[in-house]
Amino acid sequence: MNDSKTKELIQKSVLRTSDTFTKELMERIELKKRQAKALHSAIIRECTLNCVTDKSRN
Amino acid sequence: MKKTNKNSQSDLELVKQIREGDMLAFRNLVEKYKDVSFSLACSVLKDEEEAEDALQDAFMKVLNNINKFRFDASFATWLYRIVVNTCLKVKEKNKKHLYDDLSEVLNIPSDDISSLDKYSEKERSGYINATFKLMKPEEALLLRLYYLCELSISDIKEVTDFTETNIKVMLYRGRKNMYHLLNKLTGNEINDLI
Repeated sequence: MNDSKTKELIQKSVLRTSDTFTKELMERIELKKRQAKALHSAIIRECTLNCVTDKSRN
Repeated sequence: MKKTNKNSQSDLELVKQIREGDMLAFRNLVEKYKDVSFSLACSVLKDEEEAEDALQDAFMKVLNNINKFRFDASFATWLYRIVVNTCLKVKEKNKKHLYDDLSEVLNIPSDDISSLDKYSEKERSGYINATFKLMKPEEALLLRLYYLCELSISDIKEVTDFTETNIKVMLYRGRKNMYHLLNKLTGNEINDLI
């Protein structure tokens, strides 16, 4: 089998991801973003609360 | 010797758009590269479900590190390196023996298969992919990087960290093993397949 035939065979045999691959990936990214946002908000809330508590103590 | 894969204009455009937060551009990039990348992932992991999970992780890394991509480099090579490294990490984590020993392959009964007179495109694909599944991961990976992704030896070196000599030797062995396995799987009727 020559080189061009090998190339043709391999190129024609490319594997396909599942139909939902891209959709699932985009949903995963969206979820990560939401989680990061929620974590950020929680940290800000916590810091603000600590700051207010410290001020009231002083 | 093959030419180094250059970035297509659309790749660079997509990367620029992704850097500006355009998720549709990222989606288009995923659509463009997912199947070839999936084939590479399957070469390493030999399990389609595992390969798909690893590929999702790899694309997330691409998105998270898109600002680190240098425009003078080939995007495809950069992406394939991330895909291969992610799969190697998954493989290391699972610590499985992910490919069959070639000696086992030699015992595959081929009676049923050899009775086929003609091979449809789908069957042909099936035989090639079955062959790749039986091959050593590094040989299957190199054959796909070279013939499917059409990377040059120096690009493959960048993706895999193998030396150029090793790549050439493994490509030679890989081709030889591929023909040998195809011959076995088709009951010595490889000529009907090609």
